[in-house]
This record gives sequence, C-alpha cells and structure tokens, in this order.
Amino acid sequence: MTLDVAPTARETGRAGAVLDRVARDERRHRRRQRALVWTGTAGLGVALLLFWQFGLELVVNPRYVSDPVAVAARIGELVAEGEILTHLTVTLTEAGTGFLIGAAAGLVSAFALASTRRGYEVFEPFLIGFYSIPKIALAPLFILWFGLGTTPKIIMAALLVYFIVFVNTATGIRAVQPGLLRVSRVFGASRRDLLVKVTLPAAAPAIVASIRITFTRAIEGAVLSEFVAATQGLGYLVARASRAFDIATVFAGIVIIAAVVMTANGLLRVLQSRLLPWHSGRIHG
Amino acid sequence: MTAPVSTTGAAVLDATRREHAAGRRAHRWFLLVARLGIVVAVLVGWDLASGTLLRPFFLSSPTDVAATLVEWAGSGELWYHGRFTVTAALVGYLIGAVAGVLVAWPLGMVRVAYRIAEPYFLVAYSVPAVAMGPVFILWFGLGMTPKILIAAYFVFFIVFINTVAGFQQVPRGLLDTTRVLGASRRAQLRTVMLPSALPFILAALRITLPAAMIGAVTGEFISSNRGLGYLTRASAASFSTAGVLAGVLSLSAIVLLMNLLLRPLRHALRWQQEIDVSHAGAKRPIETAGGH
Repeated sequence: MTLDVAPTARETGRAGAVLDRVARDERRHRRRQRALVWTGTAGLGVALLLFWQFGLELVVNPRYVSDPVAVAARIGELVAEGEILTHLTVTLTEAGTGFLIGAAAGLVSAFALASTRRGYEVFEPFLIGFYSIPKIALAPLFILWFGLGTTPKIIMAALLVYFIVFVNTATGIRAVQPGLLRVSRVFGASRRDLLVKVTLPAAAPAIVASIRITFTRAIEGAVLSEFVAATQGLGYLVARASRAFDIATVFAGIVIIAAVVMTANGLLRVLQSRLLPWHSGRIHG
Repeated sequence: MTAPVSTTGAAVLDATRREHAAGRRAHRWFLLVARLGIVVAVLVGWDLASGTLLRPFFLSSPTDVAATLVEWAGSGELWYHGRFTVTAALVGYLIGAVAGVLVAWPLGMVRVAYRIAEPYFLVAYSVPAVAMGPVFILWFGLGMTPKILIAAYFVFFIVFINTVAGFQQVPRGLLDTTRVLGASRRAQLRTVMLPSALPFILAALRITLPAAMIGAVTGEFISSNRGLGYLTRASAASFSTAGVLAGVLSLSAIVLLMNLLLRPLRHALRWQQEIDVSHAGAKRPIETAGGH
C-alpha cells in the first residue's frame, strides 16, 4: 500500500498506540489461553484420579480396578523392596541389546541391498512379505528355540527393530535424488564419496527418526515375550500379578513400563534434535 | 527440416523405444526368475538340510509345515480358529476405528479442548499396547471380548491421532476465506474440514487393520482357548515346530490378504497427494502398525 500524503506526527502516534494495544490484547489473550489449558489439564487429571479413587467403585467391583492410592503404594513397595530394579534391569537389557542388534543389522543390510538396484528389486517382495508377518506370532517359536532366558526376548526385540530400521533406511537411500548422484559422478566422485557425501546425509533423517521410534518397539517385544514365558522382567511381573488377580501390581507394572517408554522417548528425541537439528524427520513405522 | 531426415529420426526413435521395451521385458523376466529361484532354493535347501544338517525338532521342514497345514485344513481346525481370530480382529477394528474418529472429531475442531486433553492421550499412547493385554483379560475373561478390546485399543490411538492431525492441518486460509464468504460452521465442516481430513482418516483406516489382527493374536497369546494365536502357542507348548510355523504362516497369509484388500483405499482419493500416515502429524511422527 502506498500513501499519497505523508502521515502527520499525530497520526503516526495514534497508529502506534493502536498497534500497541492490539499487541497487548493479543498477548493477554494468549496468556489467558495458556492458563486455561494448564488449569484444564490439571483439573482433568485430578478429576480422573478422584473418579478412579472414589467413583469407579460405585460402577464396578473395586477388585477389578484397584485405586490410585493402592497402585502408588504398590509402586513404592516394589521400589523399596528393590524387586523392581531386578525386573527393570532385565527388561531394559533385553530391549537395549535387541535394539542395538536390530538397528545395526537393519542399517547394514539396507545399505548392502539398496546399493545394488537389482538386488533390491529381486528381494523387495520377500521383504514386504516378511514385513507383514505378525512378528509377535514368532514369540513362541523363539522360546521353543532358546528357552526361558533372555535370548528369545533379545531376538524378538531385535526383529521388531530390524524391519522398521531396514525399511526406513532402504527408503531413505532410494529417495536420494538421482540428479545429485549423477552430478557428483560427473564431477568425479568415487563410489565411496557418493555413499559418504551424498547418500548417507540424504538418508540420515529417515534413519535417525526410525531408530528413535523403534526403542519403544524393542521394549514392547521384550515385554510381550516375557508375557509368553519368562522368569523375570517387567512383562513377567505384570503377567504373574494378573494370574494372581493382583490388579494393583498389574497397574503398577503398566505405569512403570509407560514411564520407561516415555523417558526413553524423551531422551531419544533430545538426541535426535541434537544430531539433526534441521530436520523433523519423516518415518515409516 | 527435410522429410528424409525426420523419417530417419522417427525410425531411430522407434528403434530406441523398441529396444527399451525389450530391455524392460528382459528385466521383468530376470526379476521373476530370480525371485522364483530364491523361493525354490530356500525351500529345497531347507527340506534337504532338515534331518541331515539341522535337527527337525528345531526347524521342522517345509513338507512337515505343509502337512500340518493340510491336516488342520482337513480337520476344520484352521477354519475354527481362524474364524475366531478374524472375527475378533474385525469387530475390534470397527470399534477402535469408530471410537477413534468420534473422539477425535470434537477434539480436532476445538483446539483448546485438544490441548487440554493431549497429555493424557500421549501418556495412554505410550503404554505399550501389549501391556494392556493382561488387564483386559482380567476384566473380561477368556472369551472373545478381551481380544476384541485389545484389537480396538491397538486401532484406536492410531486412528485418533491421525484424525486429529487431519483436522488440525486444514489450511487456515481456507477457513478464513470461507468464513468471510459467509459459510456456517456446518458448511465449513462439510466442504472444507472433512474433505481435507479425509485422506488422513482413510490412511489410518488402511494401516490399522493388520494392527487389529496383531491385537487379537496378542490377546490369544496371553490367554485363550481358541484362535490362531492360541493354536500357535499350543503348538509351541507341545514342542511342535511345524505347528508354530504353520500358525505363523496362516496368520501372515491373512494379514497379507487384508493388506491387498485395503489397497484400493490408497487410490480412493486420487486428487489428494498420498498421505504418509507415519508422519501425518507433521509435528510429531506417528508410528504405523506394520512393525509388530
């Protein structure tokens, strides 16, 4: 917009005052909104807990739902007895080891396969087939093969991680713009240069994002295998309590598992934003 | 340009095109032969190695697995257990999908409401779905109900999060423009919000059907007396590797079939660019179901 006449000092001053007021209103509105969200969230949480503690027993038999105080007390007990530490260590070790193995195997095989176009095309349908196997169905098989120890849990966790990392890495590699590769080759880049300077940076966001989300899957794999058959671990704790109809312990176990998953997710998210600050990451789960 | 040159040009073009087509055909044949070769080699190798190099107790053999499948199919067991699992998965899928859309709808429309509720959904979402299995079984016993609910739980969050994301990504400009042009909230919902959120919802519906199968199987693993998950686990309990593999194979076949049947959904909204649900949230990547 252009003005035919320069505004007088008074007019400029008035416009400035209006702008100021608008900005102030806007700020106040946003502050109020934030306060509303905070109180709403806190209120909702308190209401849910109160309902669970006092209201739910009116609707269902309290034996089935326990109550927040009992669950909190049970968590305190488990922590004080040190029992939780054993189970936590076992599950985290299984999930962590499986995660590392699965992620490494996924990366290596994706790079090996995606670097030869033909190889990838030949194997693609098999990978899609394997991808759609409900992998948790293999849990009994692994337990049959490797017994009740930690090995079948590690393998299950690794398998869940493997396919996600593999698919994302392969997709990331194949999504590299062919133009970039051709230009680099024209400028005399070796195969290694192409890999290190073009392919890897281009595929990095997909790889890192997939690695981030798969830790949850590793924990899920370990916990599910512990449901099927185990002698220790968080999944075992929950399964045993559920067989003994000890619902407070079941919920305590679930709360602890959720806390572990959320902590791990938070840490990995921080790690991801440090590693790739410029990218929010797109992933194929 | 003179005629002879252009004729030559056309001929050359033609020849190139023919060559390319031939190359493509050769490539297709190569792929087919290579893939078939791999399948045959693995099956024959496995069959020969079983009993000589490998103990059949651990790895069974393709003939044993096939025999088990035939036996199950003949005795009606496959149908009996398969029907149970598929029914639980489908009912759970319907419940989870409908609940996901219905809960997400108001929350997606009213931003403040969503922001208030968001932390709780995130907490519930980060409970590994499998951990809820024992709870549902405690509550609802050994029948089909807990399996349906576990399947619904698997489906609910993915549909919910994608629907909210779909409503939230409606371009602000479109909403402002339609409001200026006098559209009512209802008209806006019908003409702007729903069409714009639909691809997200459909994409979530497409990827969650296999998730529902996995939910049902998870429930059957934890405790059950029917279903393909039960059949697989019972085979493992009686040390029948062939039975476990046959169970896994039939489950995979069902999941593969479901994926094939849902494929048309991918093209249902051709004018929209393909939505990749895995990051449909844009703000926050969303895990898809395939990785279980």
